[in-house]
Amino acid sequence: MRIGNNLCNRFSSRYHHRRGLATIVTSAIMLSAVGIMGTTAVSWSNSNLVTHQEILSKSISDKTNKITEFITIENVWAGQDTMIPPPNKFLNVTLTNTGNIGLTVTEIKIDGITSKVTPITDGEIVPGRSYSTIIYYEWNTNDVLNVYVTTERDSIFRTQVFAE
Amino acid sequence: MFAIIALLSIVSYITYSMNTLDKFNQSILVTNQENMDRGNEEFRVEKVTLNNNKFNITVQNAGNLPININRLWVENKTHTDDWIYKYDINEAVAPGGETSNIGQNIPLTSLDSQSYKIMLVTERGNSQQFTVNSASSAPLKIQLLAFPPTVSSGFTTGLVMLVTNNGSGTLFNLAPQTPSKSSGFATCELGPVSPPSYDSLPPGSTAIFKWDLTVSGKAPDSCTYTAELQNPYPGNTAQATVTLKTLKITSTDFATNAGVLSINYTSFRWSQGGGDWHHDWNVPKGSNTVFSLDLNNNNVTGTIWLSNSTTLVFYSVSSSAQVPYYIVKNVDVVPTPPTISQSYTCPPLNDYCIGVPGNGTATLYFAAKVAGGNAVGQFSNVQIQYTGFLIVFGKYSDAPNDAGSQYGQNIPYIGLLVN
Repeated sequence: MRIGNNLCNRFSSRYHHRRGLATIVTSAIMLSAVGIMGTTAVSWSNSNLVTHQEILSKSISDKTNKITEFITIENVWAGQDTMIPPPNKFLNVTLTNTGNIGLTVTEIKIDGITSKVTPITDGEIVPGRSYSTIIYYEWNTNDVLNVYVTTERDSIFRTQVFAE
Repeated sequence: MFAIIALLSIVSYITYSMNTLDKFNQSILVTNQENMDRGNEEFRVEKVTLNNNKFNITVQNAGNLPININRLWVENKTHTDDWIYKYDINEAVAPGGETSNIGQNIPLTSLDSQSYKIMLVTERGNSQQFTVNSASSAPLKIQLLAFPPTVSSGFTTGLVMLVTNNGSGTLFNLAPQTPSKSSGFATCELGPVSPPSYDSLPPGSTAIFKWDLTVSGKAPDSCTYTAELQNPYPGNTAQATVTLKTLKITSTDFATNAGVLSINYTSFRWSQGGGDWHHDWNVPKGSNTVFSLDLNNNNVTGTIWLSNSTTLVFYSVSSSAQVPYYIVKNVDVVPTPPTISQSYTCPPLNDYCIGVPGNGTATLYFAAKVAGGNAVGQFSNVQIQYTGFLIVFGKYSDAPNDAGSQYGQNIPYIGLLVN
């Protein structure tokens, strides 16, 4: 009987020891899981916020630059280069950056009896400075010509001139 | 812990977003302000002259913002190459202020004989375009008129040139050439133009140039003049013809042309005593005054007998004052003040005392305050300009006491300054 009691006591003690260990291990595993999940969630949300900040920052910056840039189509005069054979008529277009930031002109479009789009490759203009270019276009006297200037930021500036 | 971190991240993100949006908002406000400034900028070109063969442009800032003119474009519209030059200038104009001498410092020689298209550009990108000596750039509406178109030999007419700016830009330095006689056999002598030029002519306005033209010769000779502007648009001319007519004033039709009665204006004289008659128009105020003039009866057939109502009347040009001087038979200008030596009375009617024979002349005197009176009239004691005329009442008859036919006439054009 004592043998039986002793064995029972021995079994009971071991059982209690094993239960305590399992609790500790389980708790550790759960804590680890929560830590990992929390860290992941916080990292993910921070990353998302940073990404959104960057997107917002770029978007706002782009829009600010776009509304801030301003070009004045200062003068458009029609001429003819008699030193070369026809077609030799041209328009001399002078643009001035009257905004506060630098800009790049990418394209000038002349719209009259015919339409002509001229890509501009050297159209960087700092604030307060001008840029002139010659665009060969066969105008007729008293033609009404629409001149469109497109910038790198996709702003379009327009004026209308009489060819004379 | 994680909740705190997440909360802090969100707060910082929102703060950043708010700041970014605030900056964007500020940018929009600044851009809007700049656009408004650009729209509110207002300046106009007041005057353009050529000094020492250089432009002298005067600009007025008519807006509320200070402006800075930083570009001057000059296009030569006369030169065959039609060149265009761009000059960087720096002319600040305060609100409501003016600045001159724009163009004096650019290395460009400008000529009166050539026309230019000029553009001024401000720092904000606004511009004003105008033309100088630019009658040649487009045809203008030009008229040349003679006022009157027919004159008698030796008389002067007026040649008037009307130039209307029917374009869209203001013209500066508009001046006419002296009209050239293109046809006609009359001898015509053209005087100087007045005014010699217009500094500026806005769209829709008309410039008026006038020359006096003295024409002589035989009717119906004429002079045809062609006028054009300096630096004209080819063919933009106007013509006017002045034709001579015969001035027919003979003994038989003089009365028709000059009136039945007329006065010899050079005979008009006045006296305030002291033995002197004066022929000028400056009469001292507040003193007894007598007048005399010669009356011509242009009716060749009959004598006109003058009534005592015949009056030399002076009307003030600035008030309702009037001063009549009735006819008298004679005056004595030796004493001061002068007196009426013979009042206008005579038998048998005590009227119609003086007769002017047909085709004859009589010297008349005017002095009485009332008809047939003895008291000498005088002007008031204030300085007044008077316009005077002779009102003649008479009758054509063989004798003063015949019934005859009554005749009355007003003969104007006398002027006096009483001071």
